Amino acid sequence: MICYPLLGQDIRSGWKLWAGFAAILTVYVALIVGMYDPDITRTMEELLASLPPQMLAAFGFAMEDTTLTGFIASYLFGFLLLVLPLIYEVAAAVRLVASMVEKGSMVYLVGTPNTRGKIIRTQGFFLAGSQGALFLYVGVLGAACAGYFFPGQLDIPAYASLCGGAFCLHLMLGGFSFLASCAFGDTKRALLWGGGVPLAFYLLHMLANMGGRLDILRYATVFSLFDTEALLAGEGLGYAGMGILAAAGAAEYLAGMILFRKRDLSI
Amino acid sequence: MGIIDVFHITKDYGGQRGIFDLSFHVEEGEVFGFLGPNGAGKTTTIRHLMGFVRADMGECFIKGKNCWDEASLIQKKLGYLPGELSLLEHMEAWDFLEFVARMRGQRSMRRARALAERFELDVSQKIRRMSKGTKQKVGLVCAFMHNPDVLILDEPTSGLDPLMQSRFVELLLEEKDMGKTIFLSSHMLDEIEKTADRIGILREGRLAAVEDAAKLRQNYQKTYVLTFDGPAAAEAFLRRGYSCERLGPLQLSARVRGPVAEFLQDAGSGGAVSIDVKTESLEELFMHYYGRDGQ
Repeated sequence: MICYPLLGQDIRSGWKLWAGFAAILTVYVALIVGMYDPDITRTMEELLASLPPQMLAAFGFAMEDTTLTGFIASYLFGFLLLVLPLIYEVAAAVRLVASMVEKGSMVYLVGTPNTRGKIIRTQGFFLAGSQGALFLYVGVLGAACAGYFFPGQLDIPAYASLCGGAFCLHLMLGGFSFLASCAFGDTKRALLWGGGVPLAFYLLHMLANMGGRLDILRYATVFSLFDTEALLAGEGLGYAGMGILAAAGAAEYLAGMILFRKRDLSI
Repeated sequence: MGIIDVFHITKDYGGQRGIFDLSFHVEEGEVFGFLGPNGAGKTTTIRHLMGFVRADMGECFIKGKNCWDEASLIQKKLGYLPGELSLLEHMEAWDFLEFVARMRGQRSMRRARALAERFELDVSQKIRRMSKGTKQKVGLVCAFMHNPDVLILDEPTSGLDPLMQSRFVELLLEEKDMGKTIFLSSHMLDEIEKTADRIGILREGRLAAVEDAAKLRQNYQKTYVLTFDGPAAAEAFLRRGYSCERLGPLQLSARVRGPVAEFLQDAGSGGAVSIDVKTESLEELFMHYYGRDGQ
């Protein structure tokens, strides 16, 4: 059960932030998909070879698969779709809960005949829903771009599982931001934890990608559960990672809601 | 059981801050004034009544419902004005009022419109651009618009100009006539003495006294500053038997308790050319009230 008037208000006051990120992603997705060219890929590889390979690997630009789908997996799902939606999630999570508690405007949500549980479920629903909408949009957009520039070249099932995997990863990352936003009554700590921890995981992921002895860091970051290679190959391991991420995300959302229901609100 | 029942609630924030073993009851149709200096724990008490914080010990109830466990049931017929107002700043006032109404499942906006008119509030303004007093009006309309049975108002007249303050007092008295139960908090006696039936005095998180407002008013001594037309007149007045203090060759301050007719007559015939009332701080009131009578 959620509170529909609040959901409506969330949409009215939150669509601009969402649309901003959707717009940025539109440009990048179109740009990157349009960049693909099977012949130029070789030339680009030569060009990239002049750059330190560790640096390229850190950003996930290590391409072994030269198909369109492989290109998208490394260039789109290797960096942009890992980082940009994360910024949206942190900003939205803080705005929906911690900032309202800090400012005191939460009074006008919980000071109405709606239970705290209902209020916080609505905020969580909006956050997760807007994340889902963002990935659905980006997914359809990427497929449309691929279909327009390179008809018939995109491996749709593999691409769909990439989108699903990325969404599950972000459910987990956004869930953590939500949990932090529910746990802390001030914007500063909510940002520090809700943004800092996912960012730390991302940095570990970058280091692990550089390979060599740093490869061991792969086991220290949740980003490894989003295994693009396994998903492209349709291996079970990729889907298992997705499942774990989704379950962890759901658990974080739930924990945030329980915390919010039980805590003191200095409003 | 009264309408608001507080049983031994304690919330210890450390360093003497918080509220300690607080108990009081507000009856149906009563206006209860909750008086205390800043930091005495008034807002903390109200947060307990609203179900925003949970007491370390003790429990409180509104209309027999537990303020923490059943907050959402209580809110249906409760109007609340926060002491530190934080509205949804990015909205226009009317949109905000409609939003809160929807959150409450309230259908009619007739009363909201009437209240806005009464307080001369332009509801088409963006809240962010409003002055403090205008925001206060939005908060007041929001607290009263669903015609609640119980009102909890934290420093309701702060920011309002004198005209609006008196409109607010009128509104409060009307609500009282309709049998509403009103809990009013303030750090100034002036703000609540016109309307309150009983006044609870909070001091360092403890309830120091609950008194009939009438009795408190009677014992409330005011300090008057008298200016005389000559030093001799001032000197003569000093010997009249009032509790006086010399402020200067022409000025005295005098403390008077209860009815003032005789004092005014004496001052006039004694050569006073002007009289100013010095409002007392709550602490002074407290000291006078308890310091003189003892306990």
